[in-house]
Amino acid sequence: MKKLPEHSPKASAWEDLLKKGTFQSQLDNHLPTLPQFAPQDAAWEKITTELDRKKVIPLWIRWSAAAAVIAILLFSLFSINRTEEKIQDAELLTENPVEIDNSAVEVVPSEVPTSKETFTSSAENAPGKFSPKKKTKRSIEIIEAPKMTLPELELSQSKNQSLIIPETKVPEAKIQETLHQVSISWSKIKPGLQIKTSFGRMESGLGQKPQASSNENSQITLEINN
Amino acid sequence: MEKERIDYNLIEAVIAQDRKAQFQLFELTKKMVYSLAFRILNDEDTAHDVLQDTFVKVFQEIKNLKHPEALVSWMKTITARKAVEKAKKQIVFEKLSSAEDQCEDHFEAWFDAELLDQAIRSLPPGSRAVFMLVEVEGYPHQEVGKMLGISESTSKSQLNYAKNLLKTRIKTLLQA
Repeated sequence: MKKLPEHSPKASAWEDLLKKGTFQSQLDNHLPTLPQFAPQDAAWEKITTELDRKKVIPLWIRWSAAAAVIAILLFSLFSINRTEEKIQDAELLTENPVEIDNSAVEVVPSEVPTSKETFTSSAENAPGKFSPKKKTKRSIEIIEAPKMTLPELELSQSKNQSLIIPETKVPEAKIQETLHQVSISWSKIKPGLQIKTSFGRMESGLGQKPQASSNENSQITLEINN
Repeated sequence: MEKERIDYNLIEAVIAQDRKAQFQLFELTKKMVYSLAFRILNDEDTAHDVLQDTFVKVFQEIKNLKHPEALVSWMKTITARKAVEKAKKQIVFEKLSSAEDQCEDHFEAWFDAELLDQAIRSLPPGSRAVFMLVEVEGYPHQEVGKMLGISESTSKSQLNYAKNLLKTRIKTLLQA
């Protein structure tokens, strides 16, 4: 028996072997060669059945699905429009009770001239301090309103200052007399329409009284005739 | 490998919905798809469902595949996602202590692929899914976290936990 010469490995052979023996390196070696499993023979038939089923269905399902989606969209749009209209109507009709804090609103009464000579009739209509009759239930934010002052009315020393408007009380029940007479007939003898006037006969009855005049002769007198 | 036998003509025919070509592609890749699904799920029936769903999706959407050379990895991605979808209900990630998720370097044993496969299938569902996706399929932890609904750090700790468990199981299997 012939003896072949022996060769010694590298000094790092053992270390290399140990490196290969680590868990991670063994994993890296064996993971690509893990045993493979085969599925059942019927697997292909199931796949083809599923493929054929999915082929046939879309022809009519897609159209019906599209139609259904469009119908749903249209219905939703229609219903949204209707609800919006209802909401708008409700907003217009319903009164939401809102409480108003009157302390926030301050109205400064305007300074109205108090001379009875000039504006006796308008004195009643002069704006007074604002006082709401009813305290509504509205609640709004308190806003500091600027003080509102009406501009002062200054009557210049003109001739109009002394204008007097006498108070004439006309009874409501009194029916005004008229100076005209109108008779209408449809007969053949008499004229169809007769108008009689009596101007100048009852001048006193006309009630031509000065309704506005100045108290001084030198001032302008305003006369208003009926 | 399957990659070498899946040429461009076959892919063209599959895109054209040629049933023979589809069957050919199925025959070439069915083991790869089923094995991946089975290892993630560890359940034959659910793995068959995943296989069916995967091939139906492949045949329907292969026309949208921009790079035909990436067909195999695309199919693996579909399989992994489908399997994770199916397994999400059973996957529960246990809270790990700091000692459990530390990977020990020390391991003095030699094992083969068969033994490793047995050990992988004995892992808990959560850590098994992470191990399969990261170590076997090469997904980054971030993507695995998104797929499984966990954080990146949870994915990392689950991987270390799976490796520690594998060492223990392999030792146990070797001693048996």
